[in-house]
Amino acid sequence: MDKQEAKLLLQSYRPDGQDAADPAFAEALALARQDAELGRWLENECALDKVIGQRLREFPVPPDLRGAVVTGQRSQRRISKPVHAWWRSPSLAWAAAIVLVFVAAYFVRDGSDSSVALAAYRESMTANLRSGFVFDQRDERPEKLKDWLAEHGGMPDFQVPAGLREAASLGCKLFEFNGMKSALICFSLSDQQVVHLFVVEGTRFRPQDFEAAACALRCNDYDTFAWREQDRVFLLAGGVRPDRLRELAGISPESSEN
Amino acid sequence: MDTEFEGVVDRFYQPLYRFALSLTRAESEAFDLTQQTFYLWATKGHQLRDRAKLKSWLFTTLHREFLGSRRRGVRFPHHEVSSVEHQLPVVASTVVNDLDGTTVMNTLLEVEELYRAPLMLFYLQDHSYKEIAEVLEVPIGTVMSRLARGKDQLRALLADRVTRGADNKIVPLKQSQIGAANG
Repeated sequence: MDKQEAKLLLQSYRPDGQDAADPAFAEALALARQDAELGRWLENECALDKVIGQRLREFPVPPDLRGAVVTGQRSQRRISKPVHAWWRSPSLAWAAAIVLVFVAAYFVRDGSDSSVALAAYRESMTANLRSGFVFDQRDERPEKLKDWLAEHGGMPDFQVPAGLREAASLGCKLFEFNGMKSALICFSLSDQQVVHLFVVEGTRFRPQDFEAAACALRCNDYDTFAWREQDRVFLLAGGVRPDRLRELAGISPESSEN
Repeated sequence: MDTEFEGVVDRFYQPLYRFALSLTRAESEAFDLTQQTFYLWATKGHQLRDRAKLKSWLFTTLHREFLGSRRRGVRFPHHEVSSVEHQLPVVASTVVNDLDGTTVMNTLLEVEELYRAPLMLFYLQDHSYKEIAEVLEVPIGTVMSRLARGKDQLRALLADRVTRGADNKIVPLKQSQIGAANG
């Protein structure tokens, strides 16, 4: 085997040494140990392959893909399997009735003054992220997604927060919350992190919910930051630190405590 | 069953999506192809007796689905290892280190289709050249030659990109552009 043949073979050698014991590479690796030039070449080759591999594995995967796969499978199973008549079981029917009574009581109490709680909104929206969803529209330009939301969801214009204006968007989705439309736009940050911006009509939210301590809370495994701007309520959620969320929102710590 | 299925999804959906993107060059198609692969796993996966072959089964299935969707009537030419010229463009790992994942992925998407699939499987690193041969259903020598040629192309493109700067950003094709690109 000459050096050229060795180089050709070693192009298939993985940089982390998983193939070190593979006899197919033994002769080429032995040559690399004896030949300083070939050894340096292999070292550089592995370093370069390692970096390329790392960068490719950092390429962001759509945040809704996992949810779409799992949800699709559950739907398929519902279609293909016979439905169990669980309500025919007296104990389960009673349990369901009791839950319904509590849920109804909660909404009657909460809806008596038509106000909605920020905590309920945060819980509902992060639960949507956790359970998975499919984008209604995909575009890397947030302005295009805002246009789509205005056309399809009756979500009037809103300002993208200052810290997200340079970020590329991934897609958008409309959710329902207490009879209101809640818009979601997902952003990909320059460091490959993904953050989710929810916007909803804010007039029915209780002002006292936006005191500083309530704005940055963790919910359903997501750090969140909420704020109110004119007649909109914004909720940022993501796997980034709460102070980073605040920066992205373009809100200084002082102003949120007022 | 749900937990087991979700465990498989959690383990493989990201590398499968990236592999699908390297094949299709279109995010929406890669998305669909990944979903379709898991659908096939959910409906036919029970036929796989040796669970150690799960990874290979998923990647092979995705690749077959891709080929099926393209309805290719031609076989890829096989290059023997010995016939491949070997002169790699010089790119330093430190230079690539300064690039982000999107830039490197977009550069890989410019590599000829024939070489993209083995390159992506190689760089996902869980795949040896033998496993790549199994997934792509081609001889080992062919995998080696495609890896060598693919790396040539990728490094030339990376060197070119570094020289040109980041002005000409390339993004994966959207669904609406696929027809034009394939036509």
